[in-house]
Parts: sequence; structure tokens; C-alpha cells
Amino acid sequence: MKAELLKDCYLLRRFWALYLIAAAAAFLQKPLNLAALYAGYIPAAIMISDMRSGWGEYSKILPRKESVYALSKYIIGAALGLSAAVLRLAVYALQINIKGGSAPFMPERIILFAAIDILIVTGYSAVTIPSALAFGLSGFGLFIFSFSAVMAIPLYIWQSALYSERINLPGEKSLTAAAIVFLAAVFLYISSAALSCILSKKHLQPKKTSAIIV
Amino acid sequence: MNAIEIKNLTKIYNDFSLDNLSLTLPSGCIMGLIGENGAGKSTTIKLILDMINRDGGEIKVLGRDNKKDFNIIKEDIGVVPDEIGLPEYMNAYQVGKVMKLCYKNWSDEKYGALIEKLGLPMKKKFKEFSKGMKMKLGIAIALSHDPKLLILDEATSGLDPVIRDEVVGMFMEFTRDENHSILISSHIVSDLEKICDYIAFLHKGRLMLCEEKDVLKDEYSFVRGTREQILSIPDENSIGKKFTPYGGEAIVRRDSVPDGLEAGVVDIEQLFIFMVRKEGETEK
Amino acid sequence: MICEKNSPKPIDKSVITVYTVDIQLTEPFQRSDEVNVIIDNRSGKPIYDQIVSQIRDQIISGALKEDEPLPSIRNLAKDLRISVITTKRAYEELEREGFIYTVAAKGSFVAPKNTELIREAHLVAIEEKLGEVLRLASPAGISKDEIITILDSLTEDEK
Repeated sequence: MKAELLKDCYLLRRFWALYLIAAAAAFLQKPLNLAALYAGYIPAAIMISDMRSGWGEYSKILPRKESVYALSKYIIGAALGLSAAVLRLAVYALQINIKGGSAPFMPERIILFAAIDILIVTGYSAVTIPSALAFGLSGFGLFIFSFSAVMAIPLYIWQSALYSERINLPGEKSLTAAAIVFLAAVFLYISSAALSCILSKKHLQPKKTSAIIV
Repeated sequence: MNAIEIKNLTKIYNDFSLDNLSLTLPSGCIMGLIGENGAGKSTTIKLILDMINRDGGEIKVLGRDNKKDFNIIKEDIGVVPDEIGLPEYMNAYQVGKVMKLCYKNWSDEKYGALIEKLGLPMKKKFKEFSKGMKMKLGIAIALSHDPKLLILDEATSGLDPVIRDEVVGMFMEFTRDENHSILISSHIVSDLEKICDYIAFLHKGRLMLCEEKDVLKDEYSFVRGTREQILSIPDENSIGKKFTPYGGEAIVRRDSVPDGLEAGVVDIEQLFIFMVRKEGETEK
Repeated sequence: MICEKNSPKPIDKSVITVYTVDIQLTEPFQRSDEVNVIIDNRSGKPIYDQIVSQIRDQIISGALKEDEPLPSIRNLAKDLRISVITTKRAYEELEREGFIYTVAAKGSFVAPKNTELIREAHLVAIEEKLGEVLRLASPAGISKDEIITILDSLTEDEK
């Protein structure tokens, strides 16, 4: 597992800078979570890059469980989800300090936003990782990739509405909502990881299809 | 002990199947698995490594069934597959770091020495490697964790003759230890023929023969002669005949070389070509 | 075991590989002599046969002395880049002919010289060569008497 994580971290370097810039820029302006969506895409992107280079197949010669290959992506995804949340909180804290204590909105709300970020990152990974395993990079796999991105739109609209206070949610309810969103993210993620374990234990023949550009 | 023991191995695909294959590679030996492209060499190797599921039969690697705790055995196997699927954005140095975490017996010194010996760059991205360089990195990885068995799938095909000679030398060093064995598959045999102890011919998913190379060389003989001389050899004694406008050649059993013809040494590649052709003729 | 590749003339290396196998055996043996084995891939002679005849020649000529250790089967194979089975077979053949003997776990050694054996070996070689002479003679219609005449004149010359 350590080996696969190290490998994924090496590959993560390619996405890291862009992610940080996107996230920082986005959070300063709006509750925009396209950055979170990008973060959610990274684990699957690493997996696509693995499939394209043949690592999925090559790594079968290594003395380790086959599920390691997929589980590592989940760990990366979880770390990215948490980092997106932490980043949002950090930007918020920064905003308070710069503006001299006048918060743009209440702290409970920002915790809900952070939870939604986590849900977007992990939710997107939770759908894309098993589908990449099951369908490879062929047409159907790509369809799921884009479809799951569409799924994030209602979340985004909700978040925007909360931000612009079109929906008014009192502080206490925000916290409850945050807890529900977070638990939903955890539940979705764990069940997806379990599914991926089963999928990777089956001897899947990687489909050699034209790769998409990552 | 046998390094590899395969009994009645069967794998069925829609358009291709591996048919009831049995072969044994004794410890300390080198076996050449020879066959045309699509003969089933890679499938056999993937089955040995349990990378794909078999439909029947039994495979033992280094004395252990490859369906039971195979990871323990994988520590002792070095594999060079036909496609070295290392991540494109990593360099040899990073690959070494990752592999160190995979294998208990990984040796950084050995890896570094091999990288240097094979003239590979440490800091260049794998993506920018040529096919030969990729293969060489695969070989370096396979040899750096002190394996007992080396399995190579078309590993020398992409290499230029000078490097191939060097790699063959490395194989010889490897098998100086009598517990070390090699299974090497190839569609070109010329440079591997000499080093192999055993030869296995695979044709259309069927094992045509698996024999000690010396026995093959003893059993068969390559003869050249006039058209008439070659034609006079009874068909049941010859593996195959080939004619040119000026004469002919044939591979015959050594004990039935006609008088007046010199019994030449048969090379394995010729033998394979003649055997496959004969098979094709009988199918018709 | 040191293995040197000598190629004094620009010969086609793919055909002939000359290896000088310098034996520096680990203890308890110490020796400086060399076993020379030259493998010719294009020769019609099987490789094991090439090894047998060359080592046999060196034993007969005295280049290899009594009780001298020979390279191990595995090392000889690896140095010559040939199959272990081939060298094993060559050693078995030499042992069967009585030129070498094998001590378990220690290796193979040159057997004490046996004049009778050498005489026999030479006889076999002569028979082989004479067979070749006959094969050369018959298509050209050269008779047995003519060959004997050649032989007589050759012996005259040597005197």
C-alpha cells in the first residue's frame, strides 16, 4: 500500500499546483466548488493515467493484494477532500483577519460549505473510481465520468443559494446539515471503496481503448 | 525442485484457447518458450503469474500452487512483461523508491548498479524512454529484488544486438546460482538458443514439444543436397523439406540421414519453422 | 572465475566465440593452468562434442595435468554461454571415457594418465579421419591402393 501511495503522490505532483491555484482563486471570489470538482477528478485521473501507461496490468506482477491499486486512490481522494475543506476554512479565517473581524457570513455556514466540498470531492471519486475499474476508458466509462460531474450541479446550486442567502438556514440547522452531508459523503465513499475492492479482485481485462487526454 | 510445473493447463477465449498444456522447468535451468505471435506465449506467462484466471489445470511455481498465498512466491519472481507499464510521469529514481516499498529484498545498490550498467538515465521521465530503454528498466527492476525465478516475455526482442548480448550475459550471471531459473519467451530464438537448456514450442495455443535442447539437436539433423537426394528421403523420416531451383534442404531424424549427405546441426529456429509448416500441411 | 574474450583478428564474432577460461578456483585448489575451449557455432559438430574433444586433446597432450581440477559444470556453461545440460553431458562423456573423474561436492578432475586409454583414443580419432579420407576418395574414384601409396610416401617424408 505504501508503494502505491508513494507512486500516486509522485503522479499527484502534476495536478497539485493547478489545484491549489484554482481552489485559492475560487474560494476568494465565491463558494465556487469547481476546484473541489477538479480535486474529485484527480484520483480518477491518476487511475486513467495508470491504465494508459499499463500500470494496472504491470503492477499485477508485484507481491501485493490487487485491491491496493484502487484503495490507494481512495486515500488520495479522501486527503484531497479534506484538503479542500481545510482550504476553505483557511481562506475564511484569512478573510476574517484581513477584513478585521467582520465575517462575510456566519461560521456555521462555512462548516456546511466545507462539508459540501468534501461530498463533492469524495462523491465524484466514489463514482468515477469503480466505473474506471469496471468499464475502463471506453465510451461508457467516459459517460459515467461526465454524468457524475453533472450530479455535482444541484449541490453547487444549493451551495450558491446558501451563499447568496436566497435560502436562509439558521446556524444550528447549518451544523446539522453539515453533519448529514459529511456522513453521506463517508457512507458513499466507504461503500464505493468496498465495491472497488471486489472489482479489482476479479481478473479484469483492461480494455485497450484510445485514452482520453488527462 | 522444479521452478515451474504446469499440468493440463487450459484457458479458453472466444477466438483462441490454450489447450491442455503441460511443461516443467527444473530449477537451475533456462527454458525458451518459442512460438509465433499469438501462439499463446503471453497467455501462458500471465497464467503462470496468476494475472488471468485459468479454466483448468494446475500450476506450481517454486513448489507452490499459484492460487495459494502467491504473494510470498511473487517476492522471489522477477518479471519482465512484454509491456513495461510503468507510470509515464515517473523517472527511474522514483520507480526505485516505489519498488523498494514493494519488495522485501529490494536492493538499492543492485538497482543503481544495473541502471548504470545498462546506461539508463535516473532523472528522465519514463514517458520519454525508447522501447529498448523501457525494456532495460524492466530488466533492472526484475533483477534488483534477488529473485529465484526470472520470467521474461519477449524481453529481448526490442533490444539492439549489442545490448542483447549484454543482457544475455546478465542472464548467464544470474543462472550461475543453481537455484536460479529463467523462463524466456520469444519469437526470435537465434541468440537465445545457445543459452537455453530446454526448448518449448508453442503453436496456436498447443504445446508442440518441450524437450532438452541437446536432445533435439541430437534427434534431428539438417541436410542439404540435390533436389533428387532430398526428394528421396521418406516423408515419415523428415520434419520438412524445402526446395530451391538449385537443390533442397530438409530436417530429418539423425538416424535416417541418407548416405552421401552430410548430417548438419539443426538450429532451433529452422526446426520450429519446419515443424509449423508440417503442421500446416497436415491440417490441410 | 575470470572469463576473457579474445578476438585478435576481425573475425565474425557471431560465428566464433573464443573464451579463455582461466580457472582461479576457490580453495582448496590452487592452480594457474588454463582450460581452453573454443566453441564454433557454425561447425557441424555438436557443442558437447567440441568440448569433449578439446578437453580430451588437452589431457592427452599434457596441457592438463593429472588431478588438476576442471571448471565446474555450471561455471563452464555460464562462461561459454551455453546450456548447463550441454556441459554436463560433455563431462559425463569425458568421465565415461576415463579422462576425468568426479568427486562429489568438489568437482571434476583430470584422471591419472592411462597409456592404453590414450592409444585407444588415438585409434578412434584415426578411424574417424580415415573415414573422412574414404568419403573424399570415393566420389573421385580414388582407389584404396592409391591412398595407401599416399600414406607410404607420407611416412617416408616423416622419416
